[in-house]
Amino acid sequence: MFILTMTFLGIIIFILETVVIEFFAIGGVKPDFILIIAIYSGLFLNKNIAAGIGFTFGLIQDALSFKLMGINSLSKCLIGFSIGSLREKILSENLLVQYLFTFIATFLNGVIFLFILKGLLLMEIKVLNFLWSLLIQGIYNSLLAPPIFLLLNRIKRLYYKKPVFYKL
Amino acid sequence: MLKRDSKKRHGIIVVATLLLISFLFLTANIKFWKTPVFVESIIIAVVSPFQELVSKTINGTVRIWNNYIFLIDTQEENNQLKKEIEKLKFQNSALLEKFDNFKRLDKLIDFVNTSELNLIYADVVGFDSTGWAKMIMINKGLNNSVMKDMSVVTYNGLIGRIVQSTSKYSKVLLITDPRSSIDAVIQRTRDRGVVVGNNKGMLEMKYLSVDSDVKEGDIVISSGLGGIYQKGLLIGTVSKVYEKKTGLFRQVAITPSADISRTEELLVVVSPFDKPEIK
Repeated sequence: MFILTMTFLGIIIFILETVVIEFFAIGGVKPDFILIIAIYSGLFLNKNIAAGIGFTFGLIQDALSFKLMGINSLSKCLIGFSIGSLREKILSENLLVQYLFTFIATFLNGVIFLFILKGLLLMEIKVLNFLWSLLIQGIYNSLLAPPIFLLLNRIKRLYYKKPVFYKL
Repeated sequence: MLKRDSKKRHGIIVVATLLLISFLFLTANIKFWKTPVFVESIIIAVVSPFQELVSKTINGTVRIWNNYIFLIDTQEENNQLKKEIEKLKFQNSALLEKFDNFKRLDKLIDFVNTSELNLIYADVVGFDSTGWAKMIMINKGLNNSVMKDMSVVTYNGLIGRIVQSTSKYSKVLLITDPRSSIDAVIQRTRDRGVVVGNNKGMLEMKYLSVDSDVKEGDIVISSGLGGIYQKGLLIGTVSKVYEKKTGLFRQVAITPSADISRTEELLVVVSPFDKPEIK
């Protein structure tokens, strides 16, 4: 049942990301829900599960884009795992921590993107414009992350009594 | 203690494997410019029907709101008239281009085969999920004879080209993506350059001769070279000319004529590409 819920949630997130959220783009910049999910997994679940979720959702995100296969799966897997590794040393429930980690993770995700697109794919990208977009996305993601974390934690609590979740 | 270490090692191996898989996909992208199509096809087949359903529901709701609740008849009439104007503009631009061809080339070269374009209507079902690429998903694919490298237009200009097709859906790389490049000409001066996207919803024309007499407001059309975009397709209007006194080339900013970010319906040009022949 938990897997079904998560699959259903995943589909909703991708529909949000590819259909609905386009209408809420600010200057062409839209929030990255998949990144928020990867950050959530790192902050509240096991680091290996966080890496797995980041990889899977990133891979789907790549497949729905063009010629970017591997970029999102790599960055989201890395972000999920990195935050997951720090989980025991931080207060995940703290709002400030959530804002900060979302902003830093957005920046890290963007830098990985920039490095691959510009350094490896040799795409012409104006770095200043890109960083400006990243700043907007960082703020956008940071504002959206806490309510999404709250929602996901509510869903998590529904299954909390089951033994499998004690491991997460 | 040993069990904990083994668990830790096991976790690291799993993560390293995932990162390695991502890196392999990435390498395949960079080195061979190919992606494992089967992964994409499966994901598109699962996600796109939901995208289409939601997209249609949203568009339907918006239409009901705009056409019936907000302004019962006026909005509908206005939309029809707007579409008619855009259609006439498109036809006018194509006719102007043909007229120019006749005047300029006269008896020296034969004119381009101007057979009517064979167009297929398609709906936009989704946008790019990463936000960094400019791409849309349409609900026509190989089953509808929509294939890679076909150009995509609306009534008021060029939108992009098909970069990948599955049986029912296709990905369209928009002209505003930095990876898109179109060989284009300024309609008035006949100066040629390459139009590329800047990822901010605007276009730039590169490799335009420094001697070019290009002015703001000039219309930019596709040249037909390159084998993907047909000749004479409206790309946009010059919005800014960057002054340059040195170097070989100058650069201009172009506003796309098609409202790319608000496109809901578009047309895929399925007629075979005919290269112009000089007799």
